[in-house]
Amino acid sequence: MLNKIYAYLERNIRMIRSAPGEIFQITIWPLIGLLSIGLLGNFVVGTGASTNTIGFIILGVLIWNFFSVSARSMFVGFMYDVWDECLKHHFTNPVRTRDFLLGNGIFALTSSIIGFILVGLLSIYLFNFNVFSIGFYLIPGLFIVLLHGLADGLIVNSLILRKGYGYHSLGWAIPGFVMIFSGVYYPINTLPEIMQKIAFFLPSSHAIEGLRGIIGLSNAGISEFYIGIPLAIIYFSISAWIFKTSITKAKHNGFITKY
Amino acid sequence: MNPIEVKNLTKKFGKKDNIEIALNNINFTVKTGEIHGLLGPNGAGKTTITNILSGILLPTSGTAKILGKDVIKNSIEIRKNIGVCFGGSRFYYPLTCQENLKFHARLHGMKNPELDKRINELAEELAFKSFINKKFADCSKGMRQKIALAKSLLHKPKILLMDEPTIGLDVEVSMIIRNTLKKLSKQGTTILLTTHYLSEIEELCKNITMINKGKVIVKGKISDVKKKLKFSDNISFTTNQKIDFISKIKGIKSWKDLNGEVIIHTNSPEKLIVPLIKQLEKRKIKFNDLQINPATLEEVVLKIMKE
Repeated sequence: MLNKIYAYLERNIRMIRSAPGEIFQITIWPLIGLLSIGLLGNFVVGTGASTNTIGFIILGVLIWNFFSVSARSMFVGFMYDVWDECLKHHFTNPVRTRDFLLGNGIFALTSSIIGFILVGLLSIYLFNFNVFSIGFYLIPGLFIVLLHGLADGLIVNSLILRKGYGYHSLGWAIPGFVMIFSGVYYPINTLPEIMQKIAFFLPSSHAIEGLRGIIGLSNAGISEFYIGIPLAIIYFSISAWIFKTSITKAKHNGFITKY
Repeated sequence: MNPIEVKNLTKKFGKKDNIEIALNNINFTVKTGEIHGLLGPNGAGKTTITNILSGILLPTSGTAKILGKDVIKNSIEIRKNIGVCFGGSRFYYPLTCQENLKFHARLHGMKNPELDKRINELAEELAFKSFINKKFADCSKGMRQKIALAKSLLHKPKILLMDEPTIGLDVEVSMIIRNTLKKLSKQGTTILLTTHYLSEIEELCKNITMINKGKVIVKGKISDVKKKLKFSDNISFTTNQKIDFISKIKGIKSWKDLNGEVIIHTNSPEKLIVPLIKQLEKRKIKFNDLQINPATLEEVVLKIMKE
């Protein structure tokens, strides 16, 4: 099994190496997000807002980048086969769904962490905000976001397998929708009531609120993780099951042979 | 036990009000070390059979067994023992041929140095050493197909499923592929070959299964198939003279004169040829290019397609 996981890691690294644009997804885009939102924060503080506002927003941006990269890595790990129309070939090999999930999941974790560390260090230099001061609690917080991101990627992959290639644009759209409900740039309690109810069922919203609470940027605390962790595990388990059944369905209706 | 056994295999696509029957109770077997030809016109269901045997498509009913094991229940185990090569194969375009092969080899559990050694062996054998480090995107059709064949042979499978492996390729690459298949068959590899090139089937296969519209039309030895479909050999010659008398010669089933080219259908051309020549000489008929023409598989397929 380890050899198969290594196969996916090696493939993804080689794909990134051969397409420099892919490196942008992990590094440049998160950096642009940090700069644009961080500078907006500076402006808002300049108009009289609390100095905590910058930390509040930047933490949201950093966690959001982590989510986006993990979701995208899982999504793209599947799309490599779809884009080059070699999914059919891929599944003539003795691979199980778990090999695919672990291989792409570990790749997603690695690339998300690289992006997070890079942008986290820059945020210290540029905006004097140290996300690493959260310490140990970054681990459960990022764990929630990782699982939520992977689940997001798997759901889009499943939709492509079940409904067709036209659904691939959701790979970029769904994280945007989730962001609105996760309180990336504002506290959850400022959302309309119906949106707050939806936010409650999103693991990422608990991770962001919890991490903010730990460094005194909100009233929430680690209790958020007690809801976020089981939710993230449920999300990931269900999405992995949906992905597995989508592959089986695609083998029934012949969709898998189209890619 | 035959290495490939297909029993009552049926595959339907679509929903209740729009069902398309791709395969309808298909039965055939392939013996060890045999190259078995699966042929039929476009849309006959050949690729659907290959897809089911390779585990990427699930049948609606019936069974398909490889090495005695059901392709659905033992999918992973079977995929360890089969090599699949599709015509017009695609791999990751930004990766080199070697990187693509390494990915598939690792998915088969192969590790270094065994993996590199095997890829080099295949590069020598299939003559792709010169472009092994070329990006797949930059490879020609022939180069790509060599890589597809190499991918199917990486793990030295006992069974090969070849779906139009030489489609659209030049003579040289086609010949390399055909020679490789012959060599593997001699070594005991069982091969199911789907192709449009009937000459390829006649060169490589003893037994064939011919399908059309999802049904088996005929199966067995090529010579038996021709007989079953009542395709007789013929005698042909050219002449400018009238030859109406030949319908009276015993053993002639039918004959036609196509602007000087006479074609005579018979069940036993060898027996007929001597009396025919005697009659032609007796009547002082000048003739040229007299020859016996065996019925071709091409004629058989054309007949099926028309029907």
